[in-house]
Amino acid sequence: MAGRILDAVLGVPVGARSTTGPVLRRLRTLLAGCAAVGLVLTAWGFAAMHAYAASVHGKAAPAVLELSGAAAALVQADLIAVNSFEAGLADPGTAFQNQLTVASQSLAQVAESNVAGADGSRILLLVQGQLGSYADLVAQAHANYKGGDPVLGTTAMWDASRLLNASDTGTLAELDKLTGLQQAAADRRAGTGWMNSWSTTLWLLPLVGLAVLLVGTQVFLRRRFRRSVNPWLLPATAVLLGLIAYGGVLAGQSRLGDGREAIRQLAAQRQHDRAETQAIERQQLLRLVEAQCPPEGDCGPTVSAVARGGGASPTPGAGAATDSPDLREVTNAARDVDQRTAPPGGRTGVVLIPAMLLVVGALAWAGLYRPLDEYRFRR
Amino acid sequence: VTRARRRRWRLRAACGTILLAVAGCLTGCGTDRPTVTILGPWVDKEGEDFQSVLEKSGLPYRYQGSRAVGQVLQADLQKGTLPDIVVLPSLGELASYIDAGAVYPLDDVIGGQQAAYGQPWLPKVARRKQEQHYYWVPIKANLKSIVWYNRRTGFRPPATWRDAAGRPWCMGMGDPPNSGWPATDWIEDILLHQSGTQVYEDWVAGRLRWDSKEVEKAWKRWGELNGPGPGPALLTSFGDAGHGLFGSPPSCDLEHQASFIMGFYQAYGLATARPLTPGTDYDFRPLPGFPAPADGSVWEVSADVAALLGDSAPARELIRWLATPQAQGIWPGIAGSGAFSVNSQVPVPDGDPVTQQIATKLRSTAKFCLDGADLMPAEMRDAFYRGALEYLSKPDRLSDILARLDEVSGRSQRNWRAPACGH
Repeated sequence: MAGRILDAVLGVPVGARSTTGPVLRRLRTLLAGCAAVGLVLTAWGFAAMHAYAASVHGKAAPAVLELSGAAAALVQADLIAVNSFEAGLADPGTAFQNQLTVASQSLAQVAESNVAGADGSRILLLVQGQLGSYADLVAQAHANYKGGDPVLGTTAMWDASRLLNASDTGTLAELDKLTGLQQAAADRRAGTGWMNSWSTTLWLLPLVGLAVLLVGTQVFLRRRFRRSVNPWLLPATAVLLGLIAYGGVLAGQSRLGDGREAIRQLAAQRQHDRAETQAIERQQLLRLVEAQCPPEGDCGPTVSAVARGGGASPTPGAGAATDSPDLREVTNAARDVDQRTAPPGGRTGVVLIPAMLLVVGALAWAGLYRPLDEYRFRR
Repeated sequence: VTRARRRRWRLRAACGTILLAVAGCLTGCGTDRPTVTILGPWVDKEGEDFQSVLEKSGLPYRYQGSRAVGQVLQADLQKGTLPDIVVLPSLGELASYIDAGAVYPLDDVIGGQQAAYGQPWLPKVARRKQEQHYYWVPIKANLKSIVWYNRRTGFRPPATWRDAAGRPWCMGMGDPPNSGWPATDWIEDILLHQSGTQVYEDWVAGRLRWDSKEVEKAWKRWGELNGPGPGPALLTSFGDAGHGLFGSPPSCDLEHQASFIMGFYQAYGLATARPLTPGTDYDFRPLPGFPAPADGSVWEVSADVAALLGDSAPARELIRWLATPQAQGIWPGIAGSGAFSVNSQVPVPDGDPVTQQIATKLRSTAKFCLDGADLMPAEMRDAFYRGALEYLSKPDRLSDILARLDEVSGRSQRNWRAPACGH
């Protein structure tokens, strides 16, 4: 059947033996052409896919991880500052400075990994500016407490905390926006250019065409030369089928989607961890500010709103308030994201597929060399 | 042979035409008009309202809104990636960019439109000691020197300062990292109405000392409203202070705030599913205790202004559009927007009586004085904010605070060289 289709494709009259030579030459040209087109398209397609995966692995994922790290460090810094002022210590100490340094370093890393373009850069600059203002306000609080003005000290600490935690414009909200932009940029890249399903079809088609041609050629040679199997075309077909299967697996978006999902899950988990620390910090901050409220207890609408928003009671054992998140969990989660976003097939995949196609082309060429030679001898 | 040659020529001509078309497309028909980038202070609903003005220009644009517009602009300047147009709420900050040579003059852009804007909205200013130019277009104006009250409670706003001082005021100083500006609005307003425009101008320009008797008196008069202790004002956000007006029972009777607060009142209503209607639920009165002088009333005002940082034809076209009465009328025409234009050719918008009154006042022949803190150098302004918070916390430290402000004033570089007041 495949042989007949091939005859029709190549314009061979049924039963015409005299056309064997031209048909063989056409077949050889077609096989070589298909292999060449397949080579170019797969090389291009896989390079693009690899570049995309590398950008998720090397940029978007680290950016999201660093952003959540910066947010966690800032929440810890805020908690340390509130704790120290509440405990009557004027200076939040080196632990506070260390957390601020961690946050600054993470933001510097984000600047290098940012995949969210100009919008991402702008938010990053804004956050860096806000971080300066935050540190300045905590320094003011320190100076005021030290200078014997706890009212202004508490006001400055309250302002610092609002700057960080305000629900729509706070630094943490901006970091969340930036995280969303990084994820959206990675998702957008997955659906454009060489990463969409059409381009996958485009580079898979010549390979499938080449496989059909190889099978058809086998049938044609069997009919014309009465040989059961061509020893060159058989491995070429086997290699090609393996290649299609391997390519299909690598091109499957599921792995990349899986990686993106891993990033999303990790970001959500870190946000959840952060929310717990924020709830503890809020309770301690409220205790700090209530000390300066009028005796009748009216602290004003903003304090009331924060108190209502802080309905989430702190987790039992508030003594662990200044503990950092479990380092092993953080490391394991980051390693998981690292593995799940790694470029599929590694660099070898990008080289292996075009190289194997070259082999297929060479085998097909060699497979038709002998029949052509034989045909010339017969004639 | 001739036919074959002719065929070859035809083929060459066809190829040439195709190549020319492709080249033409690559260089010409594929390039759209460049997108104008705009950085402004409005986000959320305000950002959408402003973009509806930009949309009507028909020009391609990309708007980025940020409440920390000054910080973002500073960062853009350091990176060398300035937007084409910036909208700033602080004229003093814009003046520093003008001095730095980052702002392009608009004399030929706004053309005859300058007549539609009175003073102090659109003065000619000089960059250092060079000749004077127009450098901005007012986009959104705010009327200050007003106090808001709840009409539903039957409360009658006080007419005298003594009565005003006896009432509970809604106060919120919080707006980190600029907390304290609502207090400076109070002090400026009192100084303007108590001592007149000349004293105000001198103080804004740094010619009148902070520890002068006029300025000190203004601080003390504001102190009369605050009661014995700081109360919750230091911990209350400026946007939350007005909640007290609409509580049941209200926790305060009056709020001193600019006309933009209408947008916040609208948001309170939306949050509680009990809409607050201007004129029915709330209204405003001029600052009590200061009858209008014989030569007419005087109002403190502020404006968000657009300036050109990237000199391109589309950016100029967009600024030209923003200055027209058509563009200026769009935002105030959006119900509940709290936006007001100072272009005299824009008709007073239909709608509630409060909006109409404010729009009418902004176009009246009264004297207007720009917010003094907005015209000060950043260092001076920040010190003023902090000083006001400190005064609220410890009123007995006033002389120390004023001495410190004089010290900062002495070392600050003044960029604002136009009159603060005009009409």
